[in-house]
Amino acid sequence: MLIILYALAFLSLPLCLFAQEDEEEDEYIPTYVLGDQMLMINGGLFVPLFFQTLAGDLHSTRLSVGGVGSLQWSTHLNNNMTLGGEGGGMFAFTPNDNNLFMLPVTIRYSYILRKYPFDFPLSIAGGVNFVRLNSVFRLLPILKPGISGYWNYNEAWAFGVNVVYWWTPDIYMGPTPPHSDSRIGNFLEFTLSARYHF
Amino acid sequence: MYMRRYFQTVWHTVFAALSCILFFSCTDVDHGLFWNIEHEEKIPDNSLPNDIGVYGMIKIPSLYTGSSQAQERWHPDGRYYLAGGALFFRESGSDWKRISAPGSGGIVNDVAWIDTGSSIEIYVSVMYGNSGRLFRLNEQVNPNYTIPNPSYDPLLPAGPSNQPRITDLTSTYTAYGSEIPYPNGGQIQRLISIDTDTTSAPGYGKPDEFFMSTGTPTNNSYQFFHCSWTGTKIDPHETGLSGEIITGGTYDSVNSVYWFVSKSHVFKVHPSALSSMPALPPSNEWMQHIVWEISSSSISGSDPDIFRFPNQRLSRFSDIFYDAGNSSSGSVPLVLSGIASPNYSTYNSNPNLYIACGDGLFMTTTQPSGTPQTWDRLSGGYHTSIAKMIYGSLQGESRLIAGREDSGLVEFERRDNLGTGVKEPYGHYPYGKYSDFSSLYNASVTRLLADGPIVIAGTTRSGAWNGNYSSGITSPKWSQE
Repeated sequence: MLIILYALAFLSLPLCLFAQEDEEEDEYIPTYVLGDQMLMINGGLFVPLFFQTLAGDLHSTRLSVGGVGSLQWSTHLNNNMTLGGEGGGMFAFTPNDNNLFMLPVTIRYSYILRKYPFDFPLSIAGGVNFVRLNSVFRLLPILKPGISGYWNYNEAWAFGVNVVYWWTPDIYMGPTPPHSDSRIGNFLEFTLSARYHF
Repeated sequence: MYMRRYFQTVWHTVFAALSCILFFSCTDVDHGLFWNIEHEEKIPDNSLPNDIGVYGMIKIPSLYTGSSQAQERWHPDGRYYLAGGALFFRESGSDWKRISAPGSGGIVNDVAWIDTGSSIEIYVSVMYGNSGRLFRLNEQVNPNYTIPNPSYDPLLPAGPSNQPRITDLTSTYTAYGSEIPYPNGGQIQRLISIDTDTTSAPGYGKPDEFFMSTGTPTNNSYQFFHCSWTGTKIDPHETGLSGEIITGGTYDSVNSVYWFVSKSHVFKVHPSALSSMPALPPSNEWMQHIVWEISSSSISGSDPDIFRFPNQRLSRFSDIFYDAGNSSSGSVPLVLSGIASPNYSTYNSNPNLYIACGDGLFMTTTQPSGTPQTWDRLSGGYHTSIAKMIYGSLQGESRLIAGREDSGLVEFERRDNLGTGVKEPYGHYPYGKYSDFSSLYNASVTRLLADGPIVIAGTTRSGAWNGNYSSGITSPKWSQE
């Protein structure tokens, strides 16, 4: 009886191997070409780091940890590079509960490192930053380098995290406000992300 | 293709909207935006609820040394009283204490005091629906009372910070003394106490005359009472100046005339008219002039050109302030003195009269007999109240502070702004961290109280704010009471 069972097992082995070869042959890793698009929605924490003077001194921002959200659209240039736009906003509070709002509108370039089912976009974005504190409004430049990590759930959907650095200078030429009031804002964004390819 | 065009449209729309926000919202500031955030400090917040409306404030100095009562009843630095739904009081270094209105449903809407020469009398007006009552505050309020454990007061709504509320002291002792009856019993709209003593130090006056404006908007039965001191109590009697709420009053101590403002008029009243006022003109004639001069035997109207600026009648007069300087030493008014031309050359030597109204803050000088000369408009917008802060010695700098509706405070000083060598009145936001406090600079200021180098601003919805100029006239420290 045992001999018969061993024989059946031995004879079925090629079948198993054939089945495994079928699974390996069936696994599909998506690739993207020029024109393929994706939409990302992000939301999470906004961490004020420091203000830097033009002389290089670092000062505390005195801001609270806040919230940030954004919507991104990108199109693939090839399988590893994307170019697109992004609009978002953040809020944080000063010591007297005054609201700081920043709304950056940027153009974002990404280079994607892939290890399916994961991919790791390295990105740099630049654009304008609409900044408002109470009744004061400013339009500042902004650079946002970042790194992300995504898990591809399927060909269309992926979920991940972003870590993005906000660098936004607030420069004055004087006399009012004085040139010495110039500051460079440095902030960090930690967000969860959902991405849809289409 | 469709999706690409859709998203392009979305981005264009968002960018256009944000650009509109930019062009409609830009404002200039004296310091950088990030710089302001970096230097913002947590404001001190004392124990007064931050969401009350303030409609009356007084400061009672400690005056009893050497008086007939010869005892110091209060803290040596005096005591503040504030009318804001309930009556609040505090002394220097202490928390605010609360006393509800007597009876039920009462709203404490003003507080005033007079120095009779032998006593201090404090009066509180309380509104009960369409009627009002006037109370004398019981002197037996214990100045040494302390609350060891301030607790939540269910009578007050929870504030945004859920701060501890002040324990109500109404049941602890009898705060309200005798009630002062007056004809008709209408709502008490304003209590006005005025210092007529020519030797009073500016900003540290002791009011000795007391007035009361009453009436109910539903029936327009407004009356203006002069509450004279009989030796033991005040006696309200109608002046005959009726028809509108009297919103403010001051005294020209150089020319011995009163100035009052109502919603639509400015009154120059000779003291003799308070007891014997001629009949007022009929209503259609009454509205033809803005400024009325009233003596015991005559009444006449006039219209300074600027009161019809710009081609419209000034209205909503809310406060009036006479600055004589310190006439006992012969010094000129401390505020805005030394200014030259065009009209300001006369301000060097003559006292200044200021009026706050819905169309701005106006000033003039008064010649002998109190006749105003050319009026000038210092500032635009709805101004509600005026006070003078005195910094340092009497011969030192001072500032005129004005409260506004929906836009906080404005401070006036002399400045050669155009580099011409001519100093002109210069209005600006108060110095210090004022611009950090949106609850103050967006507030509608109802009352101002000047106590030497301290200015307290009462607001309609965000309590009271304290500006202390003691450490520097350009560096006041702002805190919320």
